[in-house]
Amino acid sequence: MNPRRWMVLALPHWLHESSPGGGSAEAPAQDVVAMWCAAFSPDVFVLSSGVAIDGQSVARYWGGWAPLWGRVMQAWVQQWSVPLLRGHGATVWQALARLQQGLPHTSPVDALALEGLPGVAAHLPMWQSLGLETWGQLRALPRGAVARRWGKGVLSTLDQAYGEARHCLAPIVVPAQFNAQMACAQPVNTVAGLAGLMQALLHEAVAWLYARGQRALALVWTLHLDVPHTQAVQGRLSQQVFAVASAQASSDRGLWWRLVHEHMTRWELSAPVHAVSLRWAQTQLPSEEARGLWDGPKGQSLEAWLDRVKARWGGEHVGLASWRADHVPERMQAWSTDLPKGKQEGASQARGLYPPWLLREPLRLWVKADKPWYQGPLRLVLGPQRLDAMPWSATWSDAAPQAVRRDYFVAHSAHAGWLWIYRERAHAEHTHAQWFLQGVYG
Amino acid sequence: MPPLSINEHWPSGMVWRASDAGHAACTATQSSGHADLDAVLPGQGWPVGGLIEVLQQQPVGADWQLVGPALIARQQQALREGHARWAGSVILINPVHPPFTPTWNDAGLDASRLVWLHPPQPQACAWAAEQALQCADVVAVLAWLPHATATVLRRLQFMAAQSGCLLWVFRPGVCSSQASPAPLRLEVSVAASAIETPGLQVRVLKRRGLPWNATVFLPWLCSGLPQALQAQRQISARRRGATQEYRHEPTPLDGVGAAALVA
Repeated sequence: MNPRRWMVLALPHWLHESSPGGGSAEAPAQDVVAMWCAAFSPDVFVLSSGVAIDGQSVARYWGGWAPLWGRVMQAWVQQWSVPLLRGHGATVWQALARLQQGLPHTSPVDALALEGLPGVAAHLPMWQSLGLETWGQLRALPRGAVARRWGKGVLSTLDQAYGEARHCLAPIVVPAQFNAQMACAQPVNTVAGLAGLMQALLHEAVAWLYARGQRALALVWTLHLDVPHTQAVQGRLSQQVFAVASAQASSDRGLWWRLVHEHMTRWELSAPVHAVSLRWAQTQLPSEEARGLWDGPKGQSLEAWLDRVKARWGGEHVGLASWRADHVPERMQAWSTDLPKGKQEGASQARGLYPPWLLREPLRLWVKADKPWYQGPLRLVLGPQRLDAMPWSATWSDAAPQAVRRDYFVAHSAHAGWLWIYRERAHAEHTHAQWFLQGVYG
Repeated sequence: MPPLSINEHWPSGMVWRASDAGHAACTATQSSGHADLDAVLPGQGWPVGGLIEVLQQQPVGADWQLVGPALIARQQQALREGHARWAGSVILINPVHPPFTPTWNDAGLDASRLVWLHPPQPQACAWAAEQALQCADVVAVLAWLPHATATVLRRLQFMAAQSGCLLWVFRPGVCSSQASPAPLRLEVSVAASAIETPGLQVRVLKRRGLPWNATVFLPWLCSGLPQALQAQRQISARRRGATQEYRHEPTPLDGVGAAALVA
C-alpha cells in the first residue's frame, strides 16, 4: 500500500480553536476547500476536521504521487493566502492521524497515537489507564475481547485505518450550475455589514469555477429582503438583484472581489437583508487567447483596471476614442466607454493645423471693438481656414440645424498662449460677429 | 581589514557618485526627443519608473509638445516588443481639455490605445493613477493633479518606481515652493517671445546630481504650427519686398508711358 495515496488538508484553526486565522475573512470554509480540491481528483471527502483527497484514480493522470501533491500545494499558495497543514497516509485515517500529530508519511503506522482514530474518544481514558497508547498495541489485543469490551465499531475503524476494510465516506459532488445562498445571523441594514457574508460566498463561487475549470464573465447577487408578508402581497419587492460584469473572463478571486467591492459601495438597500445568494451568470472554458504566456505576472490587465474605474466612477467618466470621417472637428471623434473588440479601422488623421486639445463645447468669446477677447485681446496669426459642412439631407440654407459655416483662425495672446478659434459665418453679416474658442495648442 | 569598495557592497544603480552627477544614468531613461532638454536631464532622458513633476505657469502649458516625442517613441517600442492586446496604452487622467485624438494620430501616436479619464471629483485622480501604474500594458501615465499633497506624490513615486512606466504629474506653478518627492521637477512656461516661433521655456528645479539654473528653450516638434508660421512670414516678407520693388524701382512700363506722354 502506498503511504502517499491519501492526503488530508486542514487549516490550523480547524484542528485547534486557539490557532490564528479562525476569524480571518480570507480563510475559506471547509466545504469551499473540498470543492476547490475537486479540481484535482473526483474522490474528495469532508471529514470532521479536514478535507481528504484520494489520489488513487488520478495519480497516473498527474504523472505520479509527488507531482500530484506538489501541484495541489502550489495551486493552494497561488489561490489562497493562508497557511495549510497536510498529512499523508495509505488510508484516510492514517493521513488524518499524521496530520493531527504532525508526522511525515514515512512514520510507522503502528506507532501512531490512538487519539488519531476517529470515534474512539470515549474509550481513551480507559486505554490510557491500561497503558494502551499506539495503534499497534490496540491491534495486538485479541479481536474478540476488543469487540466485547469496546464494541464492534472500534474494530471496524481499526480495520479501515489499516486498509483491511473499505471506508464508508461519500465523496462530494460539484454541481453543474453554481447557485449558493447564505442566511444572515440577523437582518442586516447596511451593505458594509454584508461584506463578510459576500466574501464567503465568493470564495465558494471561485472554488466552484476552479473545480469546473471555467472562467466567468458576470455574476449576479440576489439580496433577499426582510419584507413583511402583508407588504409583499401588496407588491413590494422581496429581493434586490445586482449584476457585476467583467470585460474579460476570469476566475481570479482577488479580481472579482475588488470588482464586487467597487460595485457594493453604490448599492442602496430598500429593506434589511436576511439572506444573500450568488450565481455565475456567464461562464466559459478558458479560451486560446488567454493571456499570461508573454505578459507574465507583472500587473493587472487594462480591462480589469477599466472595469474597476467604471464601477467606482460610472462609465461616463471614461473615454476611449473612436473616429468618423467628417470635417467638423467635434464630430471627427467620439468617446465610448468600452474597449473596442476588434482592430479599429481608419483611425482618423487630421492633417493640418488642428490642435491637440479640443474643448468639450466651443466657448463663446467676448468681443470688444470687433476683436475676440480671451484673457486679453487675441491677435489673429493665421487664417482664415474656411469650413462649410452640410448634411446631405439638408438644403443649403443657414437655418439647417447641422449646417456648419465657420472661419477658423490661429490666435495668440501673451497670457493664454496659442488658441484655435472660429467665427460663425452664419452671423457674419450681423452687426456683431460671433467668435468661439474651440481648441488649444499646447 | 581590506578597504571597503562601494561597487562590491551595493548593487549598481543604488549609489551615484558626485563626480558622475548629472551625467550617469542612475535609472533607465527614455530620450525626450528634445536634444537641448536631454542634455540637462540626468541620464539624457526622462527617468523611467520615476515621478516627473511638471509645474506649469499657464493652465494649458505645452504638455503635448513637451512629452509627445517621448510618448510616441515609448509606445512604438512597446508595440514592437509587446504581444499583449493593449500593449503600449497611454492613460490621461484629468487633463484640462479633452484630447483631440486625430492630431495625436497624425503625430504618430496610436490613439486607439489612449484612455482619457475625467474623474467626478479631482481628489479621485490619484487613485486612478496609482491603479493605472499597476497595469501591465500601460507605458505612460499623464496626470493633472492640481490638488495633490506630498503624501499622494510620495505614493505615486513609490508605485512608479515599481512599474516600468513613465509618469508625468502636471501641477500649477504656485506649487514650486512646496516640497516634493519627485526625483525630477521642471518648471515649464510658454516662451515670452513666442509670437515669432512657438516654444517652451523649461527650468530644472530639481534633478539627481548637480543643480542646473539656466533655462532651456524648446521648439515645438509635434505640430505643424511653427512651419505654417514660418511660411506665413516668408509670404508676407515676399509681398512686402514686392511692394517695395514696385515703389522704388521704375518698371519698363513707366518708361513706355513716359515716352508715350512725351510723344
